[in-house]
Amino acid sequence: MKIEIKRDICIGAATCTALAPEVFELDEEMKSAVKDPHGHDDHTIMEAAQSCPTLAIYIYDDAGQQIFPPV
Amino acid sequence: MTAQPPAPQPYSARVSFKKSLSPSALFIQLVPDQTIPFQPGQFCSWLIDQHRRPLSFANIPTHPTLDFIVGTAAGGVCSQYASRLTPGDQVSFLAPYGRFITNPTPQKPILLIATGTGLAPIRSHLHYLLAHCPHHPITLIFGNHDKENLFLHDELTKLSHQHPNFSYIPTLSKSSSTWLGQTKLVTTLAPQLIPNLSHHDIYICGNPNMIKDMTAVLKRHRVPPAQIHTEQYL
Repeated sequence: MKIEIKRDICIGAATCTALAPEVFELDEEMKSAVKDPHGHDDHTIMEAAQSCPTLAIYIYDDAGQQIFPPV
Repeated sequence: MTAQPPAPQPYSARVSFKKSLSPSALFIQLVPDQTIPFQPGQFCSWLIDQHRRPLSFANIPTHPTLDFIVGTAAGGVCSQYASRLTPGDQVSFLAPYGRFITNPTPQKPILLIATGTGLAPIRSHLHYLLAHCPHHPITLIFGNHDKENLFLHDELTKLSHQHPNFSYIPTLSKSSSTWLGQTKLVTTLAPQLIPNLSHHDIYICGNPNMIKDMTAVLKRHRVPPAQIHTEQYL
């Protein structure tokens, strides 16, 4: 699973850091950044992505196919 | 360990009322299917086709309706969607989000600063504070471009007349012969009108440049960072 954060969309709502604090953190610009992509299980990471208010977190499978947001 | 906020939940509501506030803003009122457990100043994420757009609640949780102020100048996904809505339409969203939350037991005078549609969460703060802290000093500085875009001016003026503890200071960046009020930017006006800024809890919402400039002004006036609360409207 690969995690990508669209920084131009992120508003720093910090829902991802609340739901998956071992994976996401806010950087110095108060935007989400990946701290450790293996910090939580896939289900928790997906829940964090789904909860983003602006859909700024993109999730890809190991083959590179986008699995969230749904294409 | 600090308790984490719960994950936002899906909700739906129906449009009960809609009106134009100005050439660049709409007021939309929704009746939710169930009570939404948000705090004053928080926001929700509207589900619009394959998009999500954050919108602040512009009133307080105990009210039976949900108020929103939607900017329409940018012509983006949310503004186009909001422009199409009519009474009876269903709106879906995730809620609640955000940490731009009113302190329910303020110890210091409150200074609220908003520009444009950044008034939305500030209005939520204001309505809560006026209802729950009737003797607490509250000042609102509301900046806008011109008189045509100074929305909710009548409501805010009326509230200032009804509540002696509330001062409302509108200011327009574009001068006009028909405007006798303030004409300075909020970043200039705040330190001029509020000499003891460092004694206030300050809530600011508006575009990122204003937030950045206002925060720098407040730091120069030795306002402790813990007393500065901001929410950016992109």
